[in-house]
Amino acid sequence: MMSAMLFRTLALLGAVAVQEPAKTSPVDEFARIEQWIKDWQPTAEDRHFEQIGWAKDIPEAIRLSKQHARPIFVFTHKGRMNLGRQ
Amino acid sequence: MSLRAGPLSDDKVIGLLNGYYIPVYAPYTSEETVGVVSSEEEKEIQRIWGESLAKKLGYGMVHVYLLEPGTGSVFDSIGVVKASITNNLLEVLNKGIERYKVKEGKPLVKPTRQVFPATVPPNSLVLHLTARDLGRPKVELSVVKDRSCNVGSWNNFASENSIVLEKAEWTKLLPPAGEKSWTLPQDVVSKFLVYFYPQIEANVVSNHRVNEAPLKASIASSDKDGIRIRIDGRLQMKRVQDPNAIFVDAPLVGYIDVDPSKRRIRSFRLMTESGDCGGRKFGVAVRSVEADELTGKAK
Repeated sequence: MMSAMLFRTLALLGAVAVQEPAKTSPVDEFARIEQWIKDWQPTAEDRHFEQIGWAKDIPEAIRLSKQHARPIFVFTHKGRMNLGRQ
Repeated sequence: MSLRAGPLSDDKVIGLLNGYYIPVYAPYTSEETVGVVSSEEEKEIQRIWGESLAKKLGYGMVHVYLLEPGTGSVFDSIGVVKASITNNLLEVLNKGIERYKVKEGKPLVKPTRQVFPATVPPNSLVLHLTARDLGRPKVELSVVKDRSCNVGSWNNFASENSIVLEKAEWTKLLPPAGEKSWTLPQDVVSKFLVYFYPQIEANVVSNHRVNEAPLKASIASSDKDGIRIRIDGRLQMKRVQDPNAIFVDAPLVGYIDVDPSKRRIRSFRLMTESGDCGGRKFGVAVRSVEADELTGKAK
């Protein structure tokens, strides 16, 4: 019984030791923040739809259509597709 | 797969849109687009919807419409569910090209970043925010979660926001004279913290309420060349429709670099690596944007 409790206590202490974040200097912490934010940026895949030359709005698209005799592709939607907030 | 993550990210579709069409996306007026949709744009959206319905070409609010060259009259349409399958959209686009014998050309509008505003007031600080999913919670029937955090599949790509702080606002982030530590002002930090949430369907940020004093600041280092300010805190955001429930809980950490001679912010960084929205985990990165990035070509 005693040895089981001791084992559990040691295991718990071990787990705490494993979970405790490594001590870093403030300089390292700022470098880590910088790197994390860099890594978190939208990927080329996230931004692939930006390879399309989007007109500013429908009136501009109609104006260009008259000048260049091209059809217009319109996607009406809820929210903000360009922000990924829809 | 959404239209953006599917066909609108497909090279063949992009080639047809750029080479033969004038593409435009048009968010309609809603709580989420207050101040975004002009009255002229909304009038055109209503005109297109009405015309397509009258011509029995199909109709929907979330829908793709094709307009005739020159006149802008609707000649075809396809619902978003069908259009989200690449081959369906390719077929409709090709039919339109054939119908009007459109000759291939260059894109009429230069592809650019779609997240930044076209213009910003002079001396503004522009922040770019990226929110990304870290995984959905396991279903635990005994625990009531904020359901809206877990509805929809809007996690095919990162969400982005740009936040413009005018000079009168960002100067409030600078160190008060003689202070080593202080609380960043609520009105300024709320402007970017309201966007700390994952990709979800409900995006009415005017309903978001940031907790009191979520960000503390302290001088980390200082010399004649620069001041580094460490910022950290905790966001516990609620929404007006459910004022007793915490919508987002997120630890925050970052820093601000200040040019002491010009009293300007050189760079701003803030992040949460372990935000929680109704049990769903997410991360957010915020960084200041240089002027050339605001006008730069999409990379």
